[in-house]
This record gives sequence, C-alpha cells and structure tokens, in this order.
Amino acid sequence: MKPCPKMQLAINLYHAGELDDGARLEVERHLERCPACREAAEQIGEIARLAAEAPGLEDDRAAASARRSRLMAALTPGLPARQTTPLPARPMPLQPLYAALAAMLLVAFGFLLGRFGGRQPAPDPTLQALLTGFQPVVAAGHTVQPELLNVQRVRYDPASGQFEITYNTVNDVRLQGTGNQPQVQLMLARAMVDSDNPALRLHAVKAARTIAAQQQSLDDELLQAIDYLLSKEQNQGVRLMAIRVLRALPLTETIKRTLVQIVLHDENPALRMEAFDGLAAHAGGREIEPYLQTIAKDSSSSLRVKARTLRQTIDAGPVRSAELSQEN
Amino acid sequence: MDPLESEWIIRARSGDLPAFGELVNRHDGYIMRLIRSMAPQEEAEDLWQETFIKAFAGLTAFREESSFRTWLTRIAIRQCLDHRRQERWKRLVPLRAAPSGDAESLLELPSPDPLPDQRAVRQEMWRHLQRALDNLPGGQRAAFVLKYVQGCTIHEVAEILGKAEGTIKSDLFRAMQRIRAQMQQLYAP
Repeated sequence: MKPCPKMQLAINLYHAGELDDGARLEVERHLERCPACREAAEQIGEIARLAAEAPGLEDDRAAASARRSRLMAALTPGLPARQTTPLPARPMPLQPLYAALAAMLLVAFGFLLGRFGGRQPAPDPTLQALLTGFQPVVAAGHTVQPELLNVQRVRYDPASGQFEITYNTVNDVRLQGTGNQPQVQLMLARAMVDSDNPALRLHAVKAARTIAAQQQSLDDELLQAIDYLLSKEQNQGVRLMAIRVLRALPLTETIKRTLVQIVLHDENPALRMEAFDGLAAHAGGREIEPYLQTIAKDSSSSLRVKARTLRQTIDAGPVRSAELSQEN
Repeated sequence: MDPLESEWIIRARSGDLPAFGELVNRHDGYIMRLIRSMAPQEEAEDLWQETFIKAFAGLTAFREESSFRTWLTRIAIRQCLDHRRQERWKRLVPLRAAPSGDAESLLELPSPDPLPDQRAVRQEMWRHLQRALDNLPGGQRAAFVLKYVQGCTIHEVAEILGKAEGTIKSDLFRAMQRIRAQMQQLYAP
C-alpha cells in the first residue's frame, strides 16, 4: 500500500518541526489511521534522527585544536603561505591585508562598472581581470584562487553584441564581454555543466548557439560542455538547444557522428527530428542518406515521412543521384 | 548579534588575528560538522581551512545584515558546492571515456560486520545516508544538511541559501524522498 500523496509534504514538515499545533495534530490523527503513511513517517523520522546524530561526524578535541593552530599559523604573515589551489601565486605589490581590502573594493567597483558599463571608460586589462575574479587574491600571505563557478545568470544583448554572465566569487561578480572572449565561453561552459538550474543551463546553451552562429566555431571547453549535455542532461529543452548549437556550426566529422547517433538512438523523437534536419540540411541530404532505410522504420511517423520525402528528393534529383552512385 | 562577537569582528577586520581566532574557536565545530556532511572526508579539513581563510579575507565585505554564523555558513556551503562542481568539471572528459568505473565504485558497499554493536550499526547507516546525500543535487543536499544535520529552521536555511522558504520546503521534500528511496533499496529484505 502506498502512502497518501497529499500527506507527504505535511509528514516531512511534521518531522522537520515546521508545523503549527493544528496541522501537527491533523498529521498525527492521520498517522493513527493510515498504516502506509505511518510507515513512511517512521522512515522519515529515522532518517531525520540519523542525520541529527550524525554519528560519523564526532569531532576529536585534539584534532580540532590542531587544525585551529594550523589555520592560525597559515594566516600569520611571514610564515610560508599555504596555497589553496595548484596555480602559482602572483606577486602583489601591496601588503596582504591591504591587498585583501583593495580586492574587495575592486570587486565592488567591478560590480558597479558592470551595472553602468555603457557609461564608463574601459578599465585597464589587468584591473579588469582582477575585477572579474580571474586572478588570485592575496590575503595575509595567502593566495586565494577566486571561484569561477556558481553561475547565476546569462544574458545576451543583441544590440551591443555583449554577453553578461553573473557568477560568484566570495562576492557577486558580473562579467561582460563578446562571444569571442575565452573567459565568456569558459563561463558559459561551466554554467552548462555546473548549474542545478535548467533555465540557466538553457540560457547558457542559447548564448552558445549565438556565438556558434556568429563565429562558426567554439572553444574546446564549450564543445565539451555541449557534448556533456547531449549525453547527461535530463531537461529535453536544454538538449534540443544543444543540438541547435551543433547545427549552427560547420558540419565536421565529429558533429556529423554525434548527430547521426542522436537520429539513430535517442529516445526523444523531437531530438531525433532536430538532428535529422541538421544532417538533411547539408549537401542535399547526402549526410543522412546511408541511414534513410533505418530511419524509414522509426517509431515517429513524422520522422518516417521526412525520411521518405528525402529519399524521393534524392531519387528525383538526377545530378545528386549520379553523384551518389559514383561515390558508391 | 553578541556584542563580544561584534567586537571580535571589528578587530579581526583590522587584521587582529587573535580576535579572528576567537571567532574560529566559536564556530569551528559547527562549520566542520557542516563540511563533513557536505563533502568527502578527505577534503573536509582543506575546505574548512579555505572557508576560514576566505572569511578572513572577506571580512570587510561582511555587512552584518545576517549573523556571522549565517555568513560563515554561506561561505562554507559555497565552498562545498564549488568543490563538488569542480570535481564534476574535472571528471567531465574521463566520465565520457570510462563511465563504468565511477558507477562500480558507487555500488561498492563496505563489508558488513557480523556482530555489530548498536553504535557500529548507526555509523554504518550514517555512511549509507552520506552516500545517498552524495547523489542529491547540490541545492537539495545543502538544504537537507542545514535542516537535519545542523538543526537550522527552514527560515534560517532559506536565509543562508538565499532562496524562498517554499523552495526550501520543496527541496527538503524531494531530498527526503530520494534518500528514502535509496535507503529502502539498501535495507530491503
């Protein structure tokens, strides 16, 4: 017997201690008379108790004291710096704490620059790199590598051709640049792979499609991210857009192979159709011609019709047919 | 905010390390417990240290709009999620080359103790819970850990993660459903 769907959220909130007295009583009454919900509630309660006890997290007092000492030693200026990432430290002319303060102010200044970018003169490239969080910050003898992750928003302004990507270091950072800038492409790739938000991933893929259409090429990281989406992404809208990115690029052997794989093996008919159209658009359908017989048996009737139409077009075109027969 | 803590923050902002040390002493255990439930054990100390180093470097940006613990928790959560994302990023190419390796290691369970005492059983269950947590999306894991391991209220979790309370309730619900499903598979007769 399955627990009552309508009660599930309430049972969770009950164990989270987030119900008022009336709602709690109502849940308790329901649990008394519903064995399936009672069993579910017991499991939830057991997991909540286990998490609260967290028996694997007990802290050893000596170990805690030792790590606090290590931290203090690491923060003490003059002692050898412990680097937080494998990247080499950049020498900074300022004293560490002033440098940290300056970095924070610069990041804040960068935010304002981003917001009013259209009215501000372009900053010095080194300063810009620091503002956008691409350089380590030195503080108290430490080189802290800014995180280039946690992308929150991607926007494209067709009028200016500028992309705007908002992400976090310790503070929010806004990066603006054109699609041919490696940093823009890298952050788009990270947004696609890292973000838990499907809408954001979709915006990032749309931005990549714009860049692909403009430049007819993408950096390797961005191509890898597209490939990752095609194999791992759950959201079908994002996957569809990833195929459109490939369609916007010249049809290389790798892209052709990927599209063929989708046409032949993907579970989603809309995606098979999109990949089919991508292949059929090139060289009068020659790219898909070897697979037409298989596609003519596809479970999607639209795809079967497309395959038959393409077959007829190819057969009716004497020049194309002659070319194909010569190649065969 | 506790006036003593405010005093330590003001002094730490101007580079007073002993004052920062007091802040570390006060929040050390809480942050370590959080990190240990959010990240692999072998990475916990590094993440803990980076959290406090970032806090020290970023104290000037702390505007006291939330409590110091909330702000520190936010840095720690971000550290853990970023670490997880970086690991995912690093695995991007190898994943495609050899996907089976990871899957096998996930299925590998610790050998059962034939006569485990109650404590050992709880620790074993905790390890299974951690494995289930590893499979949650980052946001759901953070919400679950803050609520159930750290004992925050939903209001506090929402403040730390910068989300609406309704979203947190829904994240917690989904997280619990997934964990239950995974734990049920493990303990099914």
